[in-house]
Amino acid sequence: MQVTVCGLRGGVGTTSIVAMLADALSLMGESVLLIDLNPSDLLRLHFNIPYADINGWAFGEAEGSGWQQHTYQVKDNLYVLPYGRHGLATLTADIAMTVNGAALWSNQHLLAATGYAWVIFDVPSNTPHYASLCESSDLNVLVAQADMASHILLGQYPLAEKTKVLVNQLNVQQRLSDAVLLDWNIRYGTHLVPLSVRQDLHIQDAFAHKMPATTYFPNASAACDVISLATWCLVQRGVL
Amino acid sequence: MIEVLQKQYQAAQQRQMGSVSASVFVVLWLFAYVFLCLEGPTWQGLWQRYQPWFKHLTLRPYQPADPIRYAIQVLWLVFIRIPATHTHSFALGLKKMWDAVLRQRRSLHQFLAKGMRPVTARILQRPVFFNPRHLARRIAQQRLNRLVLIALGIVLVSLALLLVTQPFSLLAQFVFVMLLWSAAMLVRRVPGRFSSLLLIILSLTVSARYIWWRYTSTLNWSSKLDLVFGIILLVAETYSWFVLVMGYIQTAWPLHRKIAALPADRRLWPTVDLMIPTYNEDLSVVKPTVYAALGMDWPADKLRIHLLDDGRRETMRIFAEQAGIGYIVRADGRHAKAGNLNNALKHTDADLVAIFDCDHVPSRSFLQLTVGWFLRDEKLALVQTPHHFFSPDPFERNLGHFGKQPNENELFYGLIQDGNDLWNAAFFCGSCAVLRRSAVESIGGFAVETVTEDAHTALRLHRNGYNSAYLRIPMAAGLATESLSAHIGQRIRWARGMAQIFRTDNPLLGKGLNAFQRLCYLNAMMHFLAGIPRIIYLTAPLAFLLFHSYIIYAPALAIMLYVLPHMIHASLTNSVIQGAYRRSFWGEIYETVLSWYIARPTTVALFSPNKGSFNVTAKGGLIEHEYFDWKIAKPYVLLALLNALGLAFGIWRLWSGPVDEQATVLITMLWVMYNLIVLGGAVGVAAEVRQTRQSHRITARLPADIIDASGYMHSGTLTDYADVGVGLKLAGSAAPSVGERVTLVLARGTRQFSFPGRISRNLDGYIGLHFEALSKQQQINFVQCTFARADAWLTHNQDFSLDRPMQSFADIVLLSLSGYQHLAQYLPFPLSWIVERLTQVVLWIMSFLPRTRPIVY
Repeated sequence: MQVTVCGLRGGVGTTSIVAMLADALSLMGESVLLIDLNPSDLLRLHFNIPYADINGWAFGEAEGSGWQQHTYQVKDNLYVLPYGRHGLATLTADIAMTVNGAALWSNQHLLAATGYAWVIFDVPSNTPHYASLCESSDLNVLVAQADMASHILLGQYPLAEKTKVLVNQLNVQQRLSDAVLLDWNIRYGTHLVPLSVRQDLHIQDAFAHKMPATTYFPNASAACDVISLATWCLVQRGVL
Repeated sequence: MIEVLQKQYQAAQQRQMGSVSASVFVVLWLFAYVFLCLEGPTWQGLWQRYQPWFKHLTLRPYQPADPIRYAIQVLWLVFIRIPATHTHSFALGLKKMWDAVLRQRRSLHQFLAKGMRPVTARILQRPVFFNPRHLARRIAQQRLNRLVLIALGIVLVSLALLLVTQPFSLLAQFVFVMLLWSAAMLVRRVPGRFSSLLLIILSLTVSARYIWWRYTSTLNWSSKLDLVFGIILLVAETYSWFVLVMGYIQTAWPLHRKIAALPADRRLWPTVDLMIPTYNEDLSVVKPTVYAALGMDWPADKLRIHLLDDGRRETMRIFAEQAGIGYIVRADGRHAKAGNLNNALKHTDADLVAIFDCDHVPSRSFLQLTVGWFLRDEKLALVQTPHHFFSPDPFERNLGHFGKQPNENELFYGLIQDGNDLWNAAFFCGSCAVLRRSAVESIGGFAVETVTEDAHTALRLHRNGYNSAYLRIPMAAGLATESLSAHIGQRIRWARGMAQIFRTDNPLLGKGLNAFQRLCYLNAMMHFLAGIPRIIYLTAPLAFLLFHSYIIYAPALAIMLYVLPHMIHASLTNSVIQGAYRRSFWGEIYETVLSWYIARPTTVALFSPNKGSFNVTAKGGLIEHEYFDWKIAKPYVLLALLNALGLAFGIWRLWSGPVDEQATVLITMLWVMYNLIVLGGAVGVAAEVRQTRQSHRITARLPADIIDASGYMHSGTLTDYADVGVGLKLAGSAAPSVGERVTLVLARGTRQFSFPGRISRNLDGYIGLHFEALSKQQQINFVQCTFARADAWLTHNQDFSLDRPMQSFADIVLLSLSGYQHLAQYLPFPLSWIVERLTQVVLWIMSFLPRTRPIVY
């Protein structure tokens, strides 16, 4: 099962969702490969892979050593493939151009050969690069916040059949969020994931501890929401 | 060695043995140690295995008679328990035989369960025939069928007559009742309707024989005194016999009506006026009801909510205005609730009228589940649903069994209404119901002539050819009456109203009803006439013990052979039919408590039906101090004293009376003791337990979350709720401090709602939360997330255990003893001392009974 997770815009908490979802699935006994497609390379920090370490698939590809050497096993059944550091400090335009992630990961045979039950991509928002990857995936999760900006952006967004909108950082005390969610329920119906991940400071805390909240704060409400999300994903595998 | 002995001695003293018994204990222990090798594997194994049967003795301080208790328990284990379980060769043979019997019984059960269905399926191929009412109508339509039915009926009735009237010798009667009893024991656990129908037939046979025997051979025509007392008792017994028979007919085949689906097209859904009549209830009682009604799942343009305020209070008007619901008042208060509803009918115009008492909080699904039947049946005038109570009624509170066993209401709403529904005779109960406006208007509105407008309205609807339906799904919950006196007041009103209907609009007479409807209504009314017969039962044995009058003029053995089977079959059958809705013998207590108080009003209403006014049932109050309701208990204390006197007379008669009378004296004394037990229970109810919480906590298991002051959100489970706060168990180790401001988050469907509050307690992760200044919208949301959930009351009976008649009787005995102990605290000196000692003696004697079940904890 190949899943892409993409933010409707930046800052909606996509990377945290990806990290927790992968962790939750692995807690349920599924084997998971997690691939970070963001040059900012933050996903590794959710799994305590040092930032000083510059290894990653893009780094390997740019350097010519190939991506295969850069997979980190963080649990028995959870593998993480970070972007790698030619990001940020050493990022130069030409190196970024030489790495064609979309072409690499759209190769179905390659992914099938790895043998994971789940391959989850953390796709950067606002880039048309990975359109073909999303197309070839089984499930596209579009992470949004229930606010006005997302409301406008979602209105413009071309929702494919397998694109599901997940509301993250839902503030249950805001009447506006409630109203937006009610509207989306009518407007997007089956495109809306039937559960939302609520706003919870535990997520930020867990990130500060370099762990996904599903493991570090398993009783936090948001972690429970993501566990439900993982269950929902398992059901989707049966449906699709 | 000395040290070990010292240790044993200290242990003995710790269990509060005196120095002498402790020394004896040590010596005995030493003996046992020498001869039995206490630390060896055999003894240890034995102790491990049988220890649970001794825990009631080992876990409490030592008492002087404990050696005897241990001995009795050991004897019981050795002679009863172990032969049944141990693999001794003799016991093994016994066990094999018993297993064979059980196997035969099981295959009989399977045969019966299987055999019943194909037969019905072959002959009656349409499902409509599974309902006896339709079957009867079908048969009546065809002349040939009717003739066959009549012929069969004549044969059956004459056979039954023969069976009932045939005089038997004592031996023949003994064989006969043993056979019937064996048959009953064989089928009583067979699932399905067959067993209950067969049990009913067996019980009817035995009871009919009994009443025939009573009439033909137990009246002493030669003594005037005997005859007068005998006839009085016989009249009471005849009443009970009729109630028993009619009860069987009424409850033999509960309909278990299913929900009728609504059409997908919402334009076809009818409009509904939801009416909430109120008179003097507090705003805090009315609020949740209105808020829940606002959240009902029904198209907003088709639902109008009205508050019908007969108290004409300004606060209510303002509240209704703020909530955005209708507010209907009238100039006068004539005809109480019925008048109030009739006035509201004039000011509204929707197709259907839903009625909720102001304290009955409806669930969101109420209309969607009930209205479907109105679309399916054009002549349907009423859909009634159960009244469920989330606060304990006086019985449950004072006797402390709330939520553990069915309450008094359960029998009516769980079984009787469901049985009525089969015969199209489900009554209107005044609340939690939907009515068709055109039907109610066609009979001239709600009946105003009696104080029970609900039953009378239903009777008129039935007379005019309308149908009624009963859905046995609790979809609204309210407050039970808060004190015993209020409860009795309510029942007096019902009793009086039913007696009024009996006189003014007798269901046996007049047009429009079928035979079974007449019978169902009649039984409902008869039920409230139970007062005088009950008092007769409570005093009848005294006629013999005190005045030496032979009220049942027959030898003791004959009495045993007729009375006991009658009683045993009746309780066995009722335990099977009603067990899930009422524990065996509890009905006796409920009836006894009411008997004295309904005896007079029903009699008065029977003779002059126009007397008496409507009294509103008080709800939602507090009982600040524990007290003994003397006023209520007085007649029962008096009756108990009389029975105790009878018991004393009985002992005297045993002592000095003729020998051939002793058996009769003994039987009568048993009767008196039973009376004392029931009266003790009635007295126990009158000891009012303190109730200090204004709002009732309702236990629940719902997901809930807490957002603490710094923005962290913790998942947990809602364990209980009330309108002012909730209790939660947090999943993790998070422990918000007492006094901290937090936000509770509850879900309703996919929507989430938050409620600000303060932590009021924190005990091992169980936290209490008190709401702070909820806005109106938040209050509405809270009611809709909790009280008004569609599944809020569905599992109210999940903690009820199976009815076991003997266990239930033991409960009643203990209850009765605690009732007398309560009473002793409030009696004047010499009496209090006597009662206290007597109960202690009975409890002390009972403490010698061996435990038949191991204690596991």
